[in-house]
Amino acid sequence: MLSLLIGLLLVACSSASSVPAATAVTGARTVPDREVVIAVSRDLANGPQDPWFCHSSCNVWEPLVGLDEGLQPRPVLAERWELSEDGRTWTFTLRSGVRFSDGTPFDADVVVKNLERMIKISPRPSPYTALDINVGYGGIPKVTRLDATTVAFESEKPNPTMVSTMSNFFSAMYSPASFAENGDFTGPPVATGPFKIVEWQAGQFLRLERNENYWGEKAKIRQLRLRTILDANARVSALQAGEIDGVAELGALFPAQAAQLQGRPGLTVGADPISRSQYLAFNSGRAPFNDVRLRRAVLLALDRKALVDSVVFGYALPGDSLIAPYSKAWYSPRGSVRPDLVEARRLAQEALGGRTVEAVLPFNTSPGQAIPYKETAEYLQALLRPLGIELRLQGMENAALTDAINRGEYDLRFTSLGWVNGDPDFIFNTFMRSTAPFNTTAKGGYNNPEVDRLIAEGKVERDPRKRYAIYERLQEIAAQEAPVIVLYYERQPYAYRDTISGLRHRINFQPTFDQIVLLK
Amino acid sequence: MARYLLSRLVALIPTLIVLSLVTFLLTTAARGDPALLALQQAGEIPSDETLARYRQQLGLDQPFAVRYVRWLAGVVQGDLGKSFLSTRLGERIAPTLVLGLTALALSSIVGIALGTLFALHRGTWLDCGGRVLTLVLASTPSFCLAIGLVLVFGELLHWLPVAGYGLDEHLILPSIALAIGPAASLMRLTRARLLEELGQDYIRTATAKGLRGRVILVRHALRNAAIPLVSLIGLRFAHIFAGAVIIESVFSWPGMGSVLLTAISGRDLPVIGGYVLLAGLIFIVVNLVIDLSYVVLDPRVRVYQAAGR
Repeated sequence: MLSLLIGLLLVACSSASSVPAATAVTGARTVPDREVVIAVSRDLANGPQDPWFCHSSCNVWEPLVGLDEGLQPRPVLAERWELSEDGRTWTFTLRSGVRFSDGTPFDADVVVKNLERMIKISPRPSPYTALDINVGYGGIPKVTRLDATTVAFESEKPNPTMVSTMSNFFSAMYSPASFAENGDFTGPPVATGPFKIVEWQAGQFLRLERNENYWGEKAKIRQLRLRTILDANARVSALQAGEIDGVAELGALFPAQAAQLQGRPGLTVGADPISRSQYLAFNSGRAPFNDVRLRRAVLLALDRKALVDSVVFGYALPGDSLIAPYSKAWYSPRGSVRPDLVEARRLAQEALGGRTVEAVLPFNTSPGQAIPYKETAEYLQALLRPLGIELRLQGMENAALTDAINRGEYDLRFTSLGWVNGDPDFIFNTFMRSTAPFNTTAKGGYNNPEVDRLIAEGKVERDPRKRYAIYERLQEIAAQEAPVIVLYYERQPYAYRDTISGLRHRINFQPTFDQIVLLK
Repeated sequence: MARYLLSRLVALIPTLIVLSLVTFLLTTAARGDPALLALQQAGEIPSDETLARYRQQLGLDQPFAVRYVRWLAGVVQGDLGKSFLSTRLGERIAPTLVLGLTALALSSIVGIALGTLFALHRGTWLDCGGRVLTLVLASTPSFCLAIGLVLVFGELLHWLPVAGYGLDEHLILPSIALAIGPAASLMRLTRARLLEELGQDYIRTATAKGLRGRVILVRHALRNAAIPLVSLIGLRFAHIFAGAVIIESVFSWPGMGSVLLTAISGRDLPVIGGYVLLAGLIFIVVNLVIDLSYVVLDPRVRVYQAAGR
């Protein structure tokens, strides 16, 4: 009798654990309707004080203007836009029939309230993108509702690039009901994206659910959990232990890890181009790299294909022009440079006269770096020694490094830049304008009046052909004077198990959570 | 006893004030401008104008004394200070305490039990083998143990979750990783102290009286061996707390440790100050509990106190 009872109990237990809680029938196969779990490397929500609450990667909020895969403005919540004759006023026509996840309508009043809040709380830091109204709108715009689906943004000065600079984060739209009096959020915000936030535990997870009111193609899965696993090895362990379905988003899978996981049974490993690049920057304000010949010698000595193969296992596109080739609208081959070791040695010999100079290259050693700074630094050390440049490598913790850079205590340094808005002004304004913080606060020290003039002209030029000519010339100057060298355009590796499919990255490193299909 | 407790609690206040002042001084002396670091988190370098406006928002343009007093006033009201990076330290206290106390309990039980076992089987293969094993475990850094545990029980056997928070099986691996080191040293001390006590005359007397072995062991030998053991447990708690910073990051345990790492690299002064203050408070309370336990364990301390105060 007892053994019978135990037997029954065992049967009951085992069947309880093997039967899924709920099932959904898709076509002929039965797939469990369960929560999909993706591990990310950082908290993708940062709380009520953050200007955006959560990263665009969450697929929760949407902007008025997004970017397509060539980093050109793409209609999202705004359907079309138009610039006035004087170049000061942009008029946006909003997509009609859009509702927030709570069912309330999205209209012109909502846009006005969102902009009012943004203006009120700027500047506000964020680990994703700092909110600075000057960066997004070139000053404080006057925002007016023209009718229920039309809004006008008026700037003090002509502002033809605004539709690019406001793209993505800077035109993120939330339900005004989510704003507290002081401009913080009252809790997880209500927005219009394919997912909505159900629960958020800082440092642990963000639980999302499909937005059934979504205006576009609805997400294919119902429940998604984004788990924050800070340690890179722990993310891979969790994947291999079957605790999670996949690993994605910026920095989630390191190139070395992807190379290691490649070909493992039951795993799909890949990498997608993202709009962030890694650069080598010079301190052009002091010897030895105030000499343009020596900067160009470094540029010519560098075989970026070999660098990419050795330090990131091929998980990147080798650098070329300051403008990445995926930006078909702005890339020019005139900015590209082929490696030429003979010419590099000649230039270095000319500049140094056979002497050997010492140069300091500090790099970040804070834990959790997805970028192999140390390996890259060692690669450069070996590369530059024959030119007569002896690199002194200085590993530093993040805050100390930032401080050292702002004091100008470097000759070479690494920097990265996410090309957030796809406009070429963003790149040249960041790196080459003599009064840019990169050259003043961070002591880059590059100064070329012709460049400053071209940047000022390019910012307000409305004729696309003339504008292209300006940025082509700037790419050319960048290749000749090398104030900064692009090492590689990043690709973000990802991996997932055979339980799901459809996980990729868009160019703004937003994972395609809305495209995930649950297989088992 | 009540007066003793009260005087100890009052003595806490100056300790905490000094602790907070030193912390605040150190974080201010460290290189790096917190406002600039906060704005530069995503890589953009802010303009001077934006930076100045943000420094003002944070109150960083105020003199040191003003900032310190403001922060302290907040602390007294239970507000550890608004993080520059919008981290909320308060939410992270419970996970760290849960992990630390579980590891402490685990290491105490296992350490004392094994120490007793080895002492009773002194010189046998069990004793020798066990001591070698614990020596190896005690000298292995906790993060190595953690990685080993993840490999074996997570990736290889799929028995236990390797990352995440929960008061269920998620707690097992991190608390074991934290507990092994302290358990091993506690085992060694328990064994040594018990062997010493078991050789004393009073044990022989007790045996001669015909007391049972278990009574002798628990009521006499262990009790007399207890004071240094309790001291060691108190000391070990400090190690466990410090080790948690690393173990938390290996197991993605959302405690104070992982927050501290982010706060340090971003010079998030209110959070660093809050962490040190909380950690200091926890230490002081643990030490107080241990001091009080002497009173319970050792009659001589009670007599001394009754005579002295």
